[in-house]
Amino acid sequence: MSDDLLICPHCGEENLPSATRCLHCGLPLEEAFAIDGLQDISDSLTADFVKDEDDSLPELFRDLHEEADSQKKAIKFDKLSAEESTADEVEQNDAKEGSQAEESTPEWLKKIRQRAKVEEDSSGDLIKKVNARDDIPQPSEPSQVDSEFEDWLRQIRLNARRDSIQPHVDEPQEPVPVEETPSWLKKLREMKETGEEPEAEEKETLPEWVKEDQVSSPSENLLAKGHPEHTQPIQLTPGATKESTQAPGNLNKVDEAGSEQAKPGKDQEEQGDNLQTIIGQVGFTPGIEDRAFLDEFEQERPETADLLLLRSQRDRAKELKDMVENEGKAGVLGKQPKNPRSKFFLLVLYLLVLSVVALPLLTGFIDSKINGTMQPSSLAFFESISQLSAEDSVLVVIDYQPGSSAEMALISRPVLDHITRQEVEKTFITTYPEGVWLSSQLMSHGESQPETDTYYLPGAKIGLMNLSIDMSGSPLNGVVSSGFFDNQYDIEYDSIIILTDSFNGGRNWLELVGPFISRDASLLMVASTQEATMFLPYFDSAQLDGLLAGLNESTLYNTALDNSSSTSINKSYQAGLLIMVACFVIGIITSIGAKTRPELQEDKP
Amino acid sequence: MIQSVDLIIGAISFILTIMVFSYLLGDNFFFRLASYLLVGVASGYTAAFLIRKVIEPYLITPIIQGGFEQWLLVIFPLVMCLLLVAMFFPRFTRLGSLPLAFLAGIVAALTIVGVSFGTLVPQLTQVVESFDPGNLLVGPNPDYFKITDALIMFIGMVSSLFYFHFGLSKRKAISATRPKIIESMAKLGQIFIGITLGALFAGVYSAALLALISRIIESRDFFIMLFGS
Repeated sequence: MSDDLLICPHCGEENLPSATRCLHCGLPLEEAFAIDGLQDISDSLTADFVKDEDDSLPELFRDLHEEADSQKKAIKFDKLSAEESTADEVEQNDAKEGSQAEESTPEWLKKIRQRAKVEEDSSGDLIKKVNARDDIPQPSEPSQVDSEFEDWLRQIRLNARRDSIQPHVDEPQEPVPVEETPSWLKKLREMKETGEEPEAEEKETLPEWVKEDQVSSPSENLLAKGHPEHTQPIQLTPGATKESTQAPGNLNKVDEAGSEQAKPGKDQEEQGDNLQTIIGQVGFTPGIEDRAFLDEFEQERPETADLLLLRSQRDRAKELKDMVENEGKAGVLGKQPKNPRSKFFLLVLYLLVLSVVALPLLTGFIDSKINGTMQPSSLAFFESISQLSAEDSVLVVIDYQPGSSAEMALISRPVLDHITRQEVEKTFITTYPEGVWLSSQLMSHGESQPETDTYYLPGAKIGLMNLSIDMSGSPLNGVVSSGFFDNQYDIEYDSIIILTDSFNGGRNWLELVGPFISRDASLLMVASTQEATMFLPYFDSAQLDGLLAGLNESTLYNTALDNSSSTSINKSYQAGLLIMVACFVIGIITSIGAKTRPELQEDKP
Repeated sequence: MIQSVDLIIGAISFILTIMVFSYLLGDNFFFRLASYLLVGVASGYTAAFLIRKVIEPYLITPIIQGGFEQWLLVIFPLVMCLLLVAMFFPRFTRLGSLPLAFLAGIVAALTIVGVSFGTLVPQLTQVVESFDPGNLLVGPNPDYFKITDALIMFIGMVSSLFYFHFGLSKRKAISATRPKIIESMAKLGQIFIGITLGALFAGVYSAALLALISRIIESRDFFIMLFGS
């Protein structure tokens, strides 16, 4: 009897011949796996683990064993005999239920199964599932192999996905006190900290036959890489964490393998044979009845979704943290690399616009009268100025900035020519400091306009209010009018012409000065094209007596004065507008294309 | 002599124009130099102008040459100016709050009065008057153009106002969505606001285009002056 017992190589205790692990120290018994091919697995998979434990674990267990040694010796024989009798009973039952398939099963596998049936608690997931699958009737028709294999692949993918996610949501482990930490655990942690490649270690632990089989057959490759049960022993090593985090990669490999499996013909037959080999080695056959098992995984999917959501939240929190940390730092967002192709395209576009706009101007000026019909607002403006006579006075407000002086000068010149022809008394006023030289520049281009001083009105809104307030009833009337403003901003003008490029500036005049001017006086406005839209409602509500805006209206106004205008500027302006419209259309088309493209890609299988 | 000055000014202007156009090749030193020049010159000009046209005639001259009445008028703005200057020193920053609060209060009051009497009342009156039957009829026949115009104006005004309505009743405050009627009107208002903003953007482009044309004309004139016709 004692000759059949297995001696544990780690603690030296005796075990039953069918034992896969030592009953005393818990470590695997190599002799149990001393079978061709499989011996290497147990050796190699546990080699590093055992090697590390040799120094520390025996010490831990040795203390325990010394205390219990005397008791163990007393009950050893009784215990072994009891186990032997149990094993005999199992063998007898198996013999009764034996079939040809079981007879062909190798001896070592029988022992594993017997052991697993006796010690259900100690059997792993793999053994349980193997036993569960043993109860499933095997498919008789070879045509079912493909569908079964598809089911099996699906199960493998689900397992791999679950395993890939699980390590990310592991609860943070509480730090183990340093004194109580065994040396093998310390070593494991050191390996993690130093970032040693566990994959390489894993590769080293894999036996030769596994490596060969990985190359020889994709389905066996699946077993070696994708199936979680087969990777379970490896998870004992530090490489397990790395392995699980790289599950998506493994999934891809599984998919590739799966797609190869789907090929019909000879390959299918070969793969069927390979599958039979795997089934023979593993000891179970996946069947359609495995749906229940797959459904079990399907039920776990909400948990998977939650885990993915957690990971997504963590990633977004990290991005937000990075953004907050990089806030205010130069070059984080501003210096994003531009696609050189798009940069080149933009440069070409700019040069095209420049050349198209410049061409009519550089080919020469042709002055001619441009015919057309003015807008009602422009026509009202023209008629209002035409009604002024030599006795009337006009206040011209320069309320634009140098940036828009080009446009404003082009629009305003015909108006200044018109009031000069009417021989009215002009006063220039500005609310911008730059307005002083802008007005002198404007007057220098006019036809025989005598240069006059331009007054500066400080204080923006407050200055405008001062301009509007009637100080006649105020006790400060004499004081203020005697020297402060010196009556130079007398609001009693027959017409006020506001030249503005800003809606806010023009609105201030309309709101703070407009209501206070005489009913007989006219309030007119010359605005840039940009702001014309905003001022039109004021013309509709009769707050403005006339509005002239834009280059086209200015050209028509010039024609109405019987002056000729430069057609080159108009052509250049229209060419630029045409290019803008073309760019808009192209931009809309390309943006629509860019939006629909991903949808098309998603529709593709 | 005048021609040589014009030539120098033209040359500087042309060089600065090229420096600004160099932005087409990306942000570079020359573009930044032109930008800094613009900001620096504008600031210097404004400061010099305000000293000469505002501070000197309205503050310094009355103190030096004015009588008691002028002193009374000047003393208040002078104190306010000194309090503003105190803001340069961290220990006295709070003193600057007084003139700033004074200015902000006046400007706010002027804005409210101006917007109310200068924009809201006349614009609303205009919308109401546009539905006056006398305006919508040409003799005995209706003027469909004016009717359509008035309707569009009314719908645009109301829907735009709805777009800026974000209030919720206390009872329905739990649901963060506006009532369906307000929501649909707000979407309609969004269209009108979008059209308005589109027109404004087109105006911006138009202004930029005219500025470009002006620069090209200036550059062309410079070369004509330099090399003759």
